[in-house]
Amino acid sequence: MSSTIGLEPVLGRSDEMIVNMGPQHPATHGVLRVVIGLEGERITRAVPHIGYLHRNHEKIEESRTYFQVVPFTDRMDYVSGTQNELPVVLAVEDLAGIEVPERAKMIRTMFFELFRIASHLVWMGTAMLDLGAITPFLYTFWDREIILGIVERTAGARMLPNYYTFGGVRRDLHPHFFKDVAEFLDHLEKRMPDYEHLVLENPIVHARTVGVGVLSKERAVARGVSGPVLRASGVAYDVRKAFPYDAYPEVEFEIPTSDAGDTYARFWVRFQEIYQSVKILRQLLEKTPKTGPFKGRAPARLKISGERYRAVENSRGELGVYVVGDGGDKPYRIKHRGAAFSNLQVIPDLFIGAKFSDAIAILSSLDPVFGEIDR
Amino acid sequence: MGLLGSDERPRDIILGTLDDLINLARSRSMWPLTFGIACCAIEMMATWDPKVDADRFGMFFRNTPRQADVMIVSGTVNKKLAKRLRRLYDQMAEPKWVISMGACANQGGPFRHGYSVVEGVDKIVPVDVYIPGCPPRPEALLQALLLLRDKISDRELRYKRPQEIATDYDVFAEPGEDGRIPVL
Amino acid sequence: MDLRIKRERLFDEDVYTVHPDDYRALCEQLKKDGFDYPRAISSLDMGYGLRVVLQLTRMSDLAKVEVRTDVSYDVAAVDSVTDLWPGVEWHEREAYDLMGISFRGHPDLRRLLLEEEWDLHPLQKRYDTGGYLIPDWRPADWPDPAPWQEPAPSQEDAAPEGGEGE
Ligand code: SF4
Repeated sequence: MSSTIGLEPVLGRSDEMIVNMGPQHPATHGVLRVVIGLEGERITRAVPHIGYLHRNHEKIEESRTYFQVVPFTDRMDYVSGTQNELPVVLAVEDLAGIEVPERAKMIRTMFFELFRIASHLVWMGTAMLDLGAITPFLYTFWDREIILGIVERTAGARMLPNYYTFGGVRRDLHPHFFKDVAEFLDHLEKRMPDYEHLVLENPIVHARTVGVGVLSKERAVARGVSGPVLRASGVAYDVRKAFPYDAYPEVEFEIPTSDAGDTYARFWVRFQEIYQSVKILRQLLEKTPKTGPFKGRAPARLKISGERYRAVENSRGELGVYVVGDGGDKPYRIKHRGAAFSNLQVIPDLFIGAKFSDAIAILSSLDPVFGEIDR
Repeated sequence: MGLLGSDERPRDIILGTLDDLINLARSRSMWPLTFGIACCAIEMMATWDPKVDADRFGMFFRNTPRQADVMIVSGTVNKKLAKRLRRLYDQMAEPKWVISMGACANQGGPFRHGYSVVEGVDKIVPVDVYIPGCPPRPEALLQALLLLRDKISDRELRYKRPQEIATDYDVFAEPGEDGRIPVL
Repeated sequence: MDLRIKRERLFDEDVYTVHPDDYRALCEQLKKDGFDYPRAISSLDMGYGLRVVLQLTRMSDLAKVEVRTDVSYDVAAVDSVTDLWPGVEWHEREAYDLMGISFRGHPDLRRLLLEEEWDLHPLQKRYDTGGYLIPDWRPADWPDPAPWQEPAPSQEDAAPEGGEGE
């Protein structure tokens, strides 16, 4: 059964031990399985196995109308809610020529950034759980609940709200939205020094991440990784700047990059992204009109022909979608390009040569979400 | 329960069966298995966060099935995972319970008609409590855990749960001659 | 070398439709032109064959290209480009797994998402959502362009920038 193990013992190498990790493992963030060859503490070989959460997204979406596709996309990167809906919505808007009002774009962008903060908070909690610290989890999930409360007030659901639609969003903002978000941002800015203290300045984190799992710039680009993993390797590629969408051309923010490329750099970049999201949200709170249209005119029955690839920068990187319409009201084919899918490919590059306990730290710095990887 | 003595007896003596005593201990220390599968797993984590805080009922995650009492199936089970899930269940020591969390674990959820999804985890393991929702709120999971607690309290110690699952569903089957995936 | 190629512009991307035998040559040319970032490999069931869609970005100036090539159901294989862009390794495996397109020269062409024992490629249109075979899924008037049978377009409108046509 070579295929299920994926790692055959090498003849004459009696010093190599083969260890199976997952699919039930607390540090695999879901159902990843990695088969690891060990020589003492060093990893000599690593073969990742995925597919334990393959839910036939792409096939089942072919038998649904475009409006029914959007809630399915929610379930891909389930930590960052509405962010997944945007590529499909943008691609279909392009193909159908639907206009989006300015205010709707701003609302979308605000939700997008709120979910980025929520996702990075979940990452922070779970990554530190992997490294053995329980305290950050208790703080970050508290803050995440505040974001989910804000989302729930407007969109009606906590985690997977199905909020974006073709031409805008489904509902107008809750009257307390601006006040809620402003209060949350004040709260978060007070919390961030604590988080920095708990994570970035933590000597244990330093010892376990600095210089561990270095991904070079060239390798990162060739491997097609994106998001914080790519930016931690020194490439300032961000879809929000490179191919701007929604209200991003109107706000100012920076792309934090680091040249180190190690696990600590990936931690650091995610922290800086939270600061940038706060900055974007503050600008949008100023700019967004309190009242106005939240949805443009869109036909109730969409019939689409043509092909379009659209991408957005979600919390993990470039989340793309390739929509092919054949003139009917259902897509002919939808291909999702998951950011975490491409990011996870670097596991062999990073694991080989590292210590076994480093593997856990490296994996948590890649921040995989299996709904998006296996689809 | 005959746990509380009647008024005629001295107050510091409690009469009851051994069942009651052991069930009391069991129901107050349910340890779930750390096994997050999909979206519902995030809400499962949120059940242990400071806001909902299931810790206060004596429930802590255990990382290995041999130490766990409760398996919370939090997400979509597909045919590739089904064998592993059954094996994890088999590894858990008796007595053991299963909570099916969310529409996917109950019956396949939004992905029900797809080629790779198991239409309900009760086709693989016996389920004690079902939670509706996609995803269920953390409060719903908490309520399910409390329901399970009541269920454990009422059980006879010698009770043996049926191990075979009444189903004609074979997720472990090989593909047929025509290349068809065995669905139902 | 003549590449049998058709070039068009779609939104913000250059789209090259290429004969499957020239797919690898075009990819090498694009790699030389500096397209260093592989975004994705998608696959489609076109009704007359299977299509591979490779999407690339050039990091220096953020130009995007899309390479399409159609293979027939019987052949269903193109050359792998994993050695040019290691990032397409899993994308090719996924296309093989779900759509049944083989990639010649791929270092490790196994099923990625489904189990090794399955012998169907469920994203092909002849399977329905549940994985059952639909014998006649195509309507009788299905268009059949079959591009690999068309004669190569003339050299003027074929030569993309970067001199692929030389
Ligand atoms: S029930 Fe809904 S939220 Fe839960 S795993 Fe299934 S799709 Fe995800």
